[in-house]
Amino acid sequence: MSVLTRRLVASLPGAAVAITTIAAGSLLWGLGTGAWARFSLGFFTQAPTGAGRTGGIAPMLFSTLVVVALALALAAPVGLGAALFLHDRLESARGAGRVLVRTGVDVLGAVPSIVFGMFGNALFVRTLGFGFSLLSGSLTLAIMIVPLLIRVVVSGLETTPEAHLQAGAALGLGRATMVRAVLLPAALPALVAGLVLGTARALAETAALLFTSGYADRMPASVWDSGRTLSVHIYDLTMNVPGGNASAQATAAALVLGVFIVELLASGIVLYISRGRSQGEDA
Amino acid sequence: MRKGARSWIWLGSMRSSRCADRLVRAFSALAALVSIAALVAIAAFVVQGALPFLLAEGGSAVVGSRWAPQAGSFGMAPLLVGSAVVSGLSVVLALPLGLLLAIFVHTRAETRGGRCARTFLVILAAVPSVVYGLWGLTAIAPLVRRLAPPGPSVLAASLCLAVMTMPTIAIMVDAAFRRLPRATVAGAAALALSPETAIWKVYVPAIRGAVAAAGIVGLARALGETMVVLMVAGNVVQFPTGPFASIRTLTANIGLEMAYAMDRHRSALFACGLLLLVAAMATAGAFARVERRVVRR
Amino acid sequence: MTKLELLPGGRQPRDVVQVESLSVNYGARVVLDGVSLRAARGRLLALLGPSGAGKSTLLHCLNRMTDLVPGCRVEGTIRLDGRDVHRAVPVTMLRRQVGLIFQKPNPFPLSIWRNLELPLREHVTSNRAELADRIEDVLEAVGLWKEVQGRLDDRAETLSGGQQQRLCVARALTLSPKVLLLDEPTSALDPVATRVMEDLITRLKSELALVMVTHDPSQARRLADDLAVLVEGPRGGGIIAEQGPTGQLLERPAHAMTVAYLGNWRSR
Repeated sequence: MSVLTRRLVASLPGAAVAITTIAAGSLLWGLGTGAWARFSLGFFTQAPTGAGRTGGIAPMLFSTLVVVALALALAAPVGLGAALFLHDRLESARGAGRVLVRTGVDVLGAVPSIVFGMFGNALFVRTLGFGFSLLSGSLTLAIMIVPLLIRVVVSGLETTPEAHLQAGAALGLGRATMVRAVLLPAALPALVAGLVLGTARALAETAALLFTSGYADRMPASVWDSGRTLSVHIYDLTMNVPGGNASAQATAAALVLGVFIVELLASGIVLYISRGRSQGEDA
Repeated sequence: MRKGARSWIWLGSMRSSRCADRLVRAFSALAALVSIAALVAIAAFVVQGALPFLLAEGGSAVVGSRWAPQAGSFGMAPLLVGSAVVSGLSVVLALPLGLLLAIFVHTRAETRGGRCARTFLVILAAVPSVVYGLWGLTAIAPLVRRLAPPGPSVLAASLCLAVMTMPTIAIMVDAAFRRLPRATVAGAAALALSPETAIWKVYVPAIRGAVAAAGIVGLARALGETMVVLMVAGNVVQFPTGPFASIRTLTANIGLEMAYAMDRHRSALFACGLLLLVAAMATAGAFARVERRVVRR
Repeated sequence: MTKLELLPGGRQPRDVVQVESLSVNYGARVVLDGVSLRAARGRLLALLGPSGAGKSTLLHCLNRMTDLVPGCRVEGTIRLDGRDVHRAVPVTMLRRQVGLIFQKPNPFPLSIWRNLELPLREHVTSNRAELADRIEDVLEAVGLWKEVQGRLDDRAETLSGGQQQRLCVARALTLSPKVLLLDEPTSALDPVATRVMEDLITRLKSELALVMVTHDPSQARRLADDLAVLVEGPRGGGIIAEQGPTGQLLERPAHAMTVAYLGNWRSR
């Protein structure tokens, strides 16, 4: 390479960083101005007025909280159970069912979110008659985050040292004991991480909720009520409400802030758990 | 050591622990069954929804070029092409950018700048897609309009998707750099290669499988993404005539019309969903193949 | 066939474990090729031989740990107290009666107490007083009680390597096994801890049938009553070149392959 080409090549990564920084800066600037213009105590505690151009986002905050919490509560046991099913190193080494489930989970993880939305609409909203409701939305979201959860928990279970599994087998310890005493502690950080990733994914999801939990911007009275999540609110303000951009950006700022707080909390928890463990080993 | 028969105690407690084992096993098998059932149900509902339309119109509908629900014509070719063009262009934009970012992060891994960049990527990867859509509509589309109206277009949507998928690609490529065998790194150092030569002539070729895998992941995300294209691509049903043309993708089409579609129209939308599902399966299969090759090497 | 010595009392020692023409394959690879041996209560049988001769695999067959290895096929019979372990004994029951100590100490990442409590609760008792009783007994038996008496709630990883290995023995003893399998139990220990462990093994011999894998003929001489020398057979799988009482076998090896294997050691 000539000196010139080498200089050019060497400067490429820096240029890419510059482009990304500009793009991200413009994105965050938009959110920042939105937040600056609209953030106040009332924004978080009041109902929207003027189709969301004014007023607050309290019902959306509440709906989001309910949908996400319910989705996690539904997905967590399924994710944990299926991960335990897939983690076959405890059992004798046969099982075609596991290959089937593993493939199925991979495929489920690749389904586009709008297809989850269609499915949720067809099954929960119409066939089961739950209507546009928080329940329909969280069931749909739960199915969506299950593959993610399974993948993360399986990778956590795989960190269990072989020696502990062998020790358990040599003592004739049953699956229940091994799960409780050895596997779950080993997989705990992964489970937390998986739940957080699931939360972030659920918070961010819009397409799957458009036709399941619906648009209603009232405060939902129960899980059978329709409720508008923050992400759906952002979409609606941007596309259907002329002059709604400022509110959309303020809501987006709130949503992004929420996602970051969740991620920050999670990495803190994971760090705390793993540090507590390694301290136990060092002492 | 205590001796003597304890067989009755053994039997008693054995039974109870067997019961707990059976419970755990039943619970995990049930959970696995639920996740498989979910997949089967999704496929079944989408196929069932699409069936009336497919039976009535046959495969010809897919290649029809006019989508006009009021007129009862449901040609999906423009939507399909729209999806392909937007997501393809986004990968073409995002892959080099992601690769370069990964190189930046990797070569400065231990410096403050590298750590900052890595954190920054993780943060960007966590931004919800609807926020990217909002940004695309308020920042990118006006920019594109200055070049050529109307603004919301193939280019705007692809740019926006590229920025959205780029962090994921960069994180995956960076992870592949970090998995490089010590021997490869030491070998490059032993030859006293300049950093640029080492990266472009040794490291990048060594991880080309992982780069391909990252590209496929980016493609899959772009293909399945609804919100960004719905907000930024313009939503006009037509074959793209250029980068500044407004188009509509399969996902956006479902997002726009699902809320009010009835009967044949609704069934046609499910057919769109089926097309998407097939496309997603194809990319997932491609990813699995590439990943298996990467792992095997 | 093994020549059996008579015990001092003149009684025939009772064979707890009988292995007959045992063959093991991992996929297409032959690991063991027609091995037969016996282990009796009150005696220690050492499996000696070069690495790759299938010693560990043979040991792991005895409590069916090989079930956990994908693609592993076991043929032949193994009897525990005359009962076929593949047909007449549930695997959990087998592993309770046949304990296994690994090369590296592998306590669970839990407290010392929990390590011993887990197998007890699973198989023996959940009565708090009985548990405490038993745990004291087994810790006493491995000589750990005085050392860990006041710190049973400390994590097992805080113990030294030698202590961890003895904790693992104690954990196996909680189930009152008939047989204890030892897979090079001192290979990860320093010389002092090895001495302590060897003393413990000698003490355990009075109550149990012991089968130990070792690659060190000196250790076999110090500890073993009987010896089986495994070498690589004609088909690649391990075969028993020779077996018999330790002293006799080490002094006057009859088989050419034993002589060849022991040659290295004897010349030292």
